[in-house]
Amino acid sequence: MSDVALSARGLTKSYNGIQALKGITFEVYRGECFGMLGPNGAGKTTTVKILCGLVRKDGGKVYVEGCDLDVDIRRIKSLVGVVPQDDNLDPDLSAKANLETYARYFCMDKATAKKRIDEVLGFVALREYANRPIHTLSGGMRRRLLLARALVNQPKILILDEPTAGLDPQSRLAFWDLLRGLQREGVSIVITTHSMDEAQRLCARVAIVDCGEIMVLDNPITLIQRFCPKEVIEVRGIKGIPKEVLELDGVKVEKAHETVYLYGDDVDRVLIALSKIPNISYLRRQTNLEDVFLRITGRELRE
Amino acid sequence: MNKVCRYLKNDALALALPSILALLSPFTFAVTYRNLRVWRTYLWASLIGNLGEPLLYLVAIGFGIGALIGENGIYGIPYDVFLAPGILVSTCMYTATFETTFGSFTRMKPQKTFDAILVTPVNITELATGEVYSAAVKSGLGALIVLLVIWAFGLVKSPLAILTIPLGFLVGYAFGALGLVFTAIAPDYSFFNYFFTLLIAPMFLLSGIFFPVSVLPEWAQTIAHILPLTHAVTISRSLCLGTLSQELLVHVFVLFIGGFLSTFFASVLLSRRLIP
Repeated sequence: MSDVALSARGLTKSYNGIQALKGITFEVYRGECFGMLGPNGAGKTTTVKILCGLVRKDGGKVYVEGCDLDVDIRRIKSLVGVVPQDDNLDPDLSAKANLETYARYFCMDKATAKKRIDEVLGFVALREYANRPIHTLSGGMRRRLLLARALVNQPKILILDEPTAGLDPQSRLAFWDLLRGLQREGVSIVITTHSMDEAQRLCARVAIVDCGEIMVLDNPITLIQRFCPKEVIEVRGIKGIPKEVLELDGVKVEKAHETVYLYGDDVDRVLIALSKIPNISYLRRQTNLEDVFLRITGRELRE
Repeated sequence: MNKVCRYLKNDALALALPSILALLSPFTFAVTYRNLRVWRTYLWASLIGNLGEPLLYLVAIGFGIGALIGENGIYGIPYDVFLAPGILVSTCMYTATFETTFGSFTRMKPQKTFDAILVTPVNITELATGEVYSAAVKSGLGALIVLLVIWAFGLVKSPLAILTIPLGFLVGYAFGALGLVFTAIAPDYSFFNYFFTLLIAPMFLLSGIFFPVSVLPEWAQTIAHILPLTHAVTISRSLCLGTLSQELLVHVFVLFIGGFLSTFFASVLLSRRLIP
């Protein structure tokens, strides 16, 4: 047995002549959390939809736990749990009934299903809400219920498409902890997100996708070291870039919209230069995944 | 356009065998179970809804027009007795088509239930068949309710009428499948107006429920005999009057094949729509 849980090779897909995926290749190791980042329309959702059988690929291969997606899609679907981008819980059923009907789709026998449902409801801390109708649950609870639903069949691989979009910080932190718990149990996770914070905190490796291709794929820390100097100063309130700053060595200057970004491994000198300019505000911080993301995908708006 | 045809052909080939397997697949029943479980919440409301319209037709047309027609009735059958079996199957038709048009469309689009189901091991033919089966079950229960009513009115002349309950399932299967075909291509709810106005309403009026098809001009008779509801009415009337013949098996066969082919066709269209 290899330790690769999922492998996608050369995935291509076009919609009405427009190429959405131009050959996506990646592997997800067992117990790993793999992140896909990218601007809207980059091809993240298309990729994960191919993995869970909601979009047909034009070309390429997908193997999940050694099964070929073209040959044994039913088996693959029984090994995969999916948390979709849109909430598609059954509005007419209670939390528990949602899971019970879902267990049927996997042909689980009643006793196993009952035990498992109790387990997953406990795991996402919704046992007390088991008999509540869906519309009485908060956004965070619904997200957790979607996670519980995805876990009913004890998946080896969990696919999450922007799972924490629109959640408050408490719910988001709680959700992340649940995912970490699953990882410890050996579940492999594929997650797409717009939240760099989420990717940096959860993922062992991230792929930055743009225009249907993987631009870079590595550990978040390695990516930051590879693409960005250590620190950045974001400056607001200046028209042009002051000469004093431009003259400094080892400072990279980027300008976007109203903000000037000054990157460098040692930005103390930049601060001294800036202190001579009146009426500006600035923020000094360490570079993070967002800087890498913007460097690779550009700063222009996409839509 | 050519590309679309090629796609549909590929899908049709790929889904032919799964469509047959889906008829008895546990995954199909899982989908039906889900729909019926939701329906249980609204059971009484929908059963009473089922009952209202046929009762109106029986009273207004059966007893009203029936009084004008007089004792000779239609070919010797009292008019209300003639009418009742047709009203029974038309109730089944309406129950099933509402379920797989408005009902299925709601599950497909606003609720995204189909998307939730399709990431599980359930495949598209099982999803389609499961949807049609739930229409069939509701239709069968509708048949039971109407049967009780017309029996209470003394309009049932044979114990064979009990078989109108399984007939209700069959009619629900056939018409549920037909409705699902339209759902598969419907851009929005208003599209179903075409389906009901151009297909279901004419069928209701021309399938021999209110008058025998044989009084129509010959060309219209040909059309009437193609309509699936005509077959259902013929079977239902024979059962309620107790006049069995081997020909009935042909009508049963037509309804089943119609239902199967429609389900298959709906699967092909849904597959293109839901799994691009």
